[in-house]
Amino acid sequence: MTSLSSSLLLPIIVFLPLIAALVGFMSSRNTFQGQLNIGFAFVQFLIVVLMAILFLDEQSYQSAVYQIGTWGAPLGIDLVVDGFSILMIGLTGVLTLILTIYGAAYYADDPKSLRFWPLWWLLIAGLNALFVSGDAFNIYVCLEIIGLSAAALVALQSTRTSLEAALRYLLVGLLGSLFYLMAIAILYRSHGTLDLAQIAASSGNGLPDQVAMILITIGLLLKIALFPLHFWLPQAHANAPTPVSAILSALVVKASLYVLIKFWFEVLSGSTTFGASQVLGVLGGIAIVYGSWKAFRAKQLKVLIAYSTVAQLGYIFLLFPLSEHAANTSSFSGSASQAAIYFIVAHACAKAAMFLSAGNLILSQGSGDIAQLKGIATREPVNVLIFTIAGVSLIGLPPSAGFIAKWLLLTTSIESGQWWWVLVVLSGGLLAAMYLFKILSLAFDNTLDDGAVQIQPKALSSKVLTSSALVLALITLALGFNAEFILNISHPPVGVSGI
Amino acid sequence: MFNQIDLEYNGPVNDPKASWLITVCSVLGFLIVLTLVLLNYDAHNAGLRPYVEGSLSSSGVTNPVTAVLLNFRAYDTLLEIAVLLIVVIAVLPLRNAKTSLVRCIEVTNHDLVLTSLQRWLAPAVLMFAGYLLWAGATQPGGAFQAGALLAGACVLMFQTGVYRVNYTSIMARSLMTCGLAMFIAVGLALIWFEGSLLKYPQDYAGVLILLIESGATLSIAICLASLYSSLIDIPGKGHAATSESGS
Amino acid sequence: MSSALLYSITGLGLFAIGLLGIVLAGHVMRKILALNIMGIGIFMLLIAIAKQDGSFVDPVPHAMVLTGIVIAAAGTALALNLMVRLHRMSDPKQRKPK
Repeated sequence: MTSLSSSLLLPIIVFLPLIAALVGFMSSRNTFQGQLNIGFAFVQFLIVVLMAILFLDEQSYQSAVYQIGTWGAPLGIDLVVDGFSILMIGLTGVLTLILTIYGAAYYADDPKSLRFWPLWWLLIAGLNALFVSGDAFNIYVCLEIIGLSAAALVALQSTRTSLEAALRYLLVGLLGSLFYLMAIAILYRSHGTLDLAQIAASSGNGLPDQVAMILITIGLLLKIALFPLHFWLPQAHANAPTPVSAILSALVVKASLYVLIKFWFEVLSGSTTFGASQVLGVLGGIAIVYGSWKAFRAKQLKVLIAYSTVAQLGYIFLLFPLSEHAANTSSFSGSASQAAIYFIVAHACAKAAMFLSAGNLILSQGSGDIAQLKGIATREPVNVLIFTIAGVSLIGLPPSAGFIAKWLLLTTSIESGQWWWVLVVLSGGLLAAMYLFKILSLAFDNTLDDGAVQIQPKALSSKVLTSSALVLALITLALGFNAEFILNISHPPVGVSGI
Repeated sequence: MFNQIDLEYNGPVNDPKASWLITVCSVLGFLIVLTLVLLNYDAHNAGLRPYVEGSLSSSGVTNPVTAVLLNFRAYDTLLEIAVLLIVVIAVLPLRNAKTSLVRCIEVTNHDLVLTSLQRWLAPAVLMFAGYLLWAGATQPGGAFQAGALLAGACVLMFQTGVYRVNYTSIMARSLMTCGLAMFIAVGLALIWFEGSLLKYPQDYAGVLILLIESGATLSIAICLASLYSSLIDIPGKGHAATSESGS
Repeated sequence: MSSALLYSITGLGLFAIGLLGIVLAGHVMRKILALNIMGIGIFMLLIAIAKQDGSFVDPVPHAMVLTGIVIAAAGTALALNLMVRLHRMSDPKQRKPK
């Protein structure tokens, strides 16, 4: 097992969550359920660490390829891992571990856990399978696994709003997948193969490739919830159970973003135009402003955080216009992509921490309304602290991962001469500060309204719920101190600009 | 466009908020562009057929579609069975593992046509499904077709309400997972024996494929039957599940 | 016009009809049906791609269509289940299911 290609780590990372799902489905409720699932998550984390070590050991930073059944492309399916996918797998591994611990405590006494665990592990399996996939049709199947299990998880509460949100999410997800499938059909027609590397080798600037790229972009934008196709996200992420909201905002939308980046920069890179990337950048900018404005106006805490996701995703779309000016426009390297990767990691950790702490606050307060959060800082100090740390990262203040991500974006925009994105990034930070300070000032506000009834403090959340959220917040801070770690995994050690 | 989930039986035919003009124009534009792509650009003539033909003899079956589905691209089929399982888990009612898999309830009014149809057709469909499974190696057929046919037979049997199936019993859950479990088990075992995931040994490829297909047929049949049942069963009206049903 | 081309254009037409349906339709059931029609359009296109010259058949699109049918059926089942649960929740007394 000296190299990643020949070891069986790549299939195991897909099959382990599948086995965990089967075990979860077949078993009945017992006292060991939580520990069993945490055990699976821990094993997956260890495998992910092993994969990262093996990948970094191979000094060449080339992608590792595992041919399933040794048929090889184009006949068989290849599992391909490069720097970006190793990073996403690592992110999935870390988040799975922490969120599984949270979920085990969250669902400790709930009969719904029987439905939660198999669906949870199938979602993780879909994410892992997507990040290692090297075949276009396999990506379609993985996108469907992710979409269906995520919609089923959103519907877990069986309340009216969550069912509506889940139905909307499902329909939009299926529509996006069908666009993607149509694009794959056209690509197969013109290239005669389904393997990503072979399509990349034979793709050019012709009309079929451009049409396929447009279809893939529209389909995946529906799944990523970029403005104006974001209408499904706030309700879906707000009405899901807390660990599900966390993984939806942190990883599931990033999975579709990963596919879009892969197609845009590697597979169909010849057919992307400067105008199209500017359009994506403009839509990203609008998403930042619009999402922040709607977050400010939100009345429920989780809806606010969900709109914040819409806004933060806009930042990552600045990658597209910025990288057109980088040295290599046809590959995913250079400072713009470093900024985007760092942003993905920073946002995932911060948003998951924010959702977890918000879930704790809602559990302790009993309702999700923002107005009810008055003065909660005295009752739940740790959770408010976690919320604050996550907010600091989202605004982009040092010392957090979000600060480094924004710094990279700013330096890249200045370097490439597109200075207008600087204004967008800075104003986005101010807008994020607006809605976050609104929450924090309310949380610390201890004055009593006239005639208001003193709210009875509910039972405080269990220690596990709070501490897992705290771990995520600390990771966000830690990433702010050591930027090289993430960047070295995803890119060969070219000089990191601006740090 | 999707902001209103409209469930009214007598509601408006068309979404009043969607803009007719923009939608029709953009869809027509799409259609024209795609048609131009089809007309002006020839297909890659060979496709993947030469590769399949070259390796067909070592795949264990002679039907090229079955070879692609269960040998060359077996990983996709595995994930697709997982997709079916996701939906089944999502629609199953809350757990009631006490009652057995199938319960027979006697009903008094017998519909002559329906019961004759059931009595004559269901065994024939069962046999035909078995044949389809077997013939998948050499002719069009295989696990999915056989599983769907079996599910059709189950739907036929459910029409009278005589049978009540508890899809959350241990037996039912084992049947649902046996397809995926067998696939994963064979795939991982082959890593041990042959060195690579889902790499069938030459001599046993046909047998292994048939084994996986049998498991998959049973799984697909009961999964599809459970999806059908989840849509027609009314909670709290004598269904085997608890009345606080999630479906 | 060869038959493969005719089937391809029909598949595209079905895709367009489904796309119009899902945007413009009012009731959720129509949207789900429109999604199915879109999927079938893509499958028809794939089958036509498999038989370009009329003399041979490429089996990989056939396998893609088989996989796609199962996934489409699963997605439709989940959507229908959610719709039925919402429906029962809204007015369980007046509307008798089935």
